[in-house]
Amino acid sequence: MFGKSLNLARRHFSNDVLKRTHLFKYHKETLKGKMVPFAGYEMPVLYPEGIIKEHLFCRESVGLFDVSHMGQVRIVGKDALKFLEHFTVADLQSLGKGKATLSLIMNEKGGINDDCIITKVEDDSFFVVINAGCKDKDLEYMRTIKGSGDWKNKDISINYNEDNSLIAVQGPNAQKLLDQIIGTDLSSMDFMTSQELKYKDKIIRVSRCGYTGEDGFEVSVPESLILTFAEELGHAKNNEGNKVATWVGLGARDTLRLEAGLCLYGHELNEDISPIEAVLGWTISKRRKEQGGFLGYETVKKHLEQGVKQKRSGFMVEGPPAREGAKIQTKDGVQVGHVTSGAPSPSLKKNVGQAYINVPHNKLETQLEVVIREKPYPLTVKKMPFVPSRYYKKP
Amino acid sequence: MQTGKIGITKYAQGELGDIVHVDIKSVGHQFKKGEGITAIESVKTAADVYAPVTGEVIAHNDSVKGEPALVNTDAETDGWLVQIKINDEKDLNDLMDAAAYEKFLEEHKH
Repeated sequence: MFGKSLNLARRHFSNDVLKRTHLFKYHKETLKGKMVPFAGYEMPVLYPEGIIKEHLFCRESVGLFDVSHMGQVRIVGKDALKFLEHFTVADLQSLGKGKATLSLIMNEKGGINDDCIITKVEDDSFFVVINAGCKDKDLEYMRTIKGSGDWKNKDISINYNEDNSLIAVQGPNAQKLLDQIIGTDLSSMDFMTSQELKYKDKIIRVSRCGYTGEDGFEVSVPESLILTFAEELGHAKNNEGNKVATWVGLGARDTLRLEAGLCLYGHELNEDISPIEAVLGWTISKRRKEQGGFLGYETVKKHLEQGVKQKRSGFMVEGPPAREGAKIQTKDGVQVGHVTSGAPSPSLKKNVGQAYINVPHNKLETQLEVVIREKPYPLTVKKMPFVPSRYYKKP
Repeated sequence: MQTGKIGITKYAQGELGDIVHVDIKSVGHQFKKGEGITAIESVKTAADVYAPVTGEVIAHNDSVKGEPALVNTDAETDGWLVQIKINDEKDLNDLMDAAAYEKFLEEHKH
């Protein structure tokens, strides 16, 4: 993701105006982050500590991520639930108030237009976080659907909020840190739940979720408070006087999510990949699997009944890291897959990755080869996550 | 026989970040100026090191193969990658010296 594509992106965007988050100046001048173009934004890819240290600090204590480039959308109205269920696989009828779910925005072919987190704020009010690189396309898609057929006459409003920043606070000490800064006790808050809280007399939305495999939160904060919030998080000290949290750039964000076996849109997921191929069937409830009623259901149903040719799989490779696009083959040289993401795992000190591998070669522990710079290296299909997830379960 | 050691600059290692693997063409490999002779893998990316002159690989830096992070800490000294035989010394005339390189970096800073 940050390899050749990044250099191309740099060239591609060099004449365009890149957008900046409210913390741009803070990343660049105070934290000395290395800023690169990503999804139309100028974002920190790493800070002076470097990817490995940022990564390990997040696993050990807390990592802070500016994810304000992601889209925060509120979908409100009497018909909002039906509207969202029309183009996502989410089961919002059975989702409780204040609960959040990972879901997929689907196209008619049964491919994935984007992955998103949907929070049910009220029965007629939803908070949806979508990928930075997809947000323009997603909003247009939602608005097109809303303007078509019967949806025109329904009670639905789509409000895109660009004022609030979004900060991810991830790691085993994330709750303690937020408790201290917000002045609350979040231990009764389960993973994949969300609530509004007060921070310095302003409303912030705190969601217990993340993209690292660790316990953690994503906090939506008004622009007026974002710098204060960022500084308080970064400056916090523990009893020994050491820092509790470190800022983490896009580089370690990628290695963390990769170790956690999570998908990155544009790599593991795209408009031609079905949820079943992506091994995300668990995002579709029994009711929705049986009743459908979402775009692309015919393909999903067919894939559920007849199986799929290829599946998203984890792997480890001996030799150099296998990067996106590398060919996966059997020992006889027959191609059976391709790499979608790959990097050295800072926690395991092994080269890990995700790939699409043809069935049945995707069976765990299957020995295959991956071709890197024209040389084959041994690859083993592995279970994901590579590093066990530590999502919070309330006592 | 004119030989030389090839590495990457301190600036280049900074751009790549934590280096985790180096993949050097075998001893005896002959190459033309501009061809890739080593691949460097950092956590975030893979990059090729291009031959500054035409020549032949005569040795690898085994320390770097065992400990790739040496390229980060000592890029322009102990972190060299490959030793080569230079076919034609005239190729060297096209290269920048350290001072010219510093100036180049300064001019391209943004």
